[in-house]
Amino acid sequence: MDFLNDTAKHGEPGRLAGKRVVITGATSGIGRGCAMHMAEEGARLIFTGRNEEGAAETLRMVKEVAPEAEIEFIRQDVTVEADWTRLYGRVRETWGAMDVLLSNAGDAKLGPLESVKAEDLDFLYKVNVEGQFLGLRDGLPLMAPGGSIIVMSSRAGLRGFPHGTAYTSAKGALTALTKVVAAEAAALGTGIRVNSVHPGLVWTESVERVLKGRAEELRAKMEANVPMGKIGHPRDVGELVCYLSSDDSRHITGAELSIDGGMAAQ
Amino acid sequence: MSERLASKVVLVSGAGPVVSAAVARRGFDCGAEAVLIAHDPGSEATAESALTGTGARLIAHNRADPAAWRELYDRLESESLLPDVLVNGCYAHHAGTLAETSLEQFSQALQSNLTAAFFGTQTAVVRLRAAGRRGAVINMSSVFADRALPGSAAYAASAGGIRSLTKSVALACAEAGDGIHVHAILTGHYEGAPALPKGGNGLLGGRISAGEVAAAVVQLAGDAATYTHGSIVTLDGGLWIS
Repeated sequence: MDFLNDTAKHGEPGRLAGKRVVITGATSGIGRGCAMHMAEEGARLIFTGRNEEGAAETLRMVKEVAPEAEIEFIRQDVTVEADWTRLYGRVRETWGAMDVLLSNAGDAKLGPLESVKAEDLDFLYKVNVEGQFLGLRDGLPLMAPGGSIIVMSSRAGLRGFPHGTAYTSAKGALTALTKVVAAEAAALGTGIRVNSVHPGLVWTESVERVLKGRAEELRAKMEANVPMGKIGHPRDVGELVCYLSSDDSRHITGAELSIDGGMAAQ
Repeated sequence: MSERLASKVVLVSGAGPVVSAAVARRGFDCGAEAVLIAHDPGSEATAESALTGTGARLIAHNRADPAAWRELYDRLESESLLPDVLVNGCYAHHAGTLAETSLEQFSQALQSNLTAAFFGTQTAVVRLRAAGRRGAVINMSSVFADRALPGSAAYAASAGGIRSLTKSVALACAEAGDGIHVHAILTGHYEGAPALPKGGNGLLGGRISAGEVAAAVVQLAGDAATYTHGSIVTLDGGLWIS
C-alpha cells in the first residue's frame, strides 16, 4: 500500500548472524514482519502459528528477502500446553538452546464495556496472557546465556483506550509479567534479558479484521490519532525487535520499548 | 556494520569523554560523514585523550548558553556541517542532600544538564527546520528520572526534566511534520559515567559499556528507526525494576 512507504525496509546484514530465534504467531502481521527482518539480519528461525496458509506465505516472503535463510514452521496453538512441549522439544533437538524468544502470538477483539462477554475476556486472556506465560515459563530454561526474550505487548498495555477492555487489560498483564520474568531471569546470572515491545497502530491483517473490512475507510481517522500522522508497518517493529535481539542491547532488561509514531510521548 | 548514519553529521555535547568517543567510533562505523564533540573545557573532564584516534573533531562550547548554541550552529553551517543528529549528554552530576544544596549548586546541576539540553534541542530543531532537513535529537537522561536517587535531588530533577522536555518536543515535531525525531535514553551506571553516591548496577550485573550507549544512540538516530518517535529507552541493566 502506498501509504506504507517510508518504513524500515531492510535489516542490518549480520547483526543477528547465527542467532537461534523462535517467533510465535508469525503466520501474519507483526510476527511475519519480524521474521523477515530477523532473517535478513542473519537469524536462524523457527516460527509458529495456527494458520498453515499464512505460514506458507511467511516462508515465501522470508525467502524472498533472505534466500539463504534457515527457517522452519511448526504448527502451534499457544494456548495448548502440549504444543509448547512439542515446539520446545524440536528446539532442543535442533539447536539445543535458543538465543531469542519473540513471544508474539496474540489476538484482539474490541467492544464497549457493556458488550464484553465473560467468554470474550476468557478467550483474550487465554491467548494473550496464558499463551505467553506458558512460552516464557517453559522457554526460560532453554535460553542460551546472553539470550533475549521479547514480549509483544501493545500501546494498549501502557494506556487505556475506549472499547479495549479485554485487550488492554490482557496486554497490561504482559507488561507486568515481563518485569517479573526479567527479574527472575537476571537472577540466573547468565545475562538473559526480558523486555516488552509496545507497538501503536500497525497495519496488519488482524487490524483489518478487527475493523471488519472498513479499515481503508477508517484509515484517515486512525492516522489522525498518531502524532506522526501515519500507521506503522510490521517491518518497523521488526527493526526494533532486531535491536533487542542483538548483543547491542545486552544491558536492557525489564524495559518497555514503544514503537508508535509518537503516541507514547502524548 | 550498517549504513545507519550514512553521510550524516553527528554533534555530541556534554556526554563526557568516554561516551563521546564511543559515539564517534560507532558513528563512523555506521557511515557518518563527521562527528563533532562540543565540550565545555570549564566543566567537563578533558576529552582530548579519550578522543585520540576516533576521527572526531573537538570544539570548545559553553552548552548552557543559548547564544553559544547559535554561534556553534552558525559556524558549523558556514562549513556545510549542519548536524543531522544532536546528542545531548546528561553528564554533570551534583551530589548533596536537600538541606545542603545551595541555590548555586542546584542551578548548576540544572544548567549543565537540562538548560543545555533545552537550548541544544531548540537550536537543532530550529536550524534543521530552516534548512528543510530531517534529523534526530537524542537526549541522554538517567534512570534516576524515574527511580529515586537519595542524596542527588538536583541531578535527578535535571534528568526528569530532560525526559519531559523530550516528550514535549517530540510531540511538537510530529505535529509540525518536520521529520525530526526526538528521543531520550535513560541510562543506569555506564562506563565513563560520573560516580553516583548510590544506585550502581542493575539486576543483570556488570557495567554498561560506552559502546552499548553509543549503539542505542545510533539505533534511535539512524534512518531505519522510522516509526520510533518520542521514545524513552531505559538502558539500565534492570535497575528500574529492581
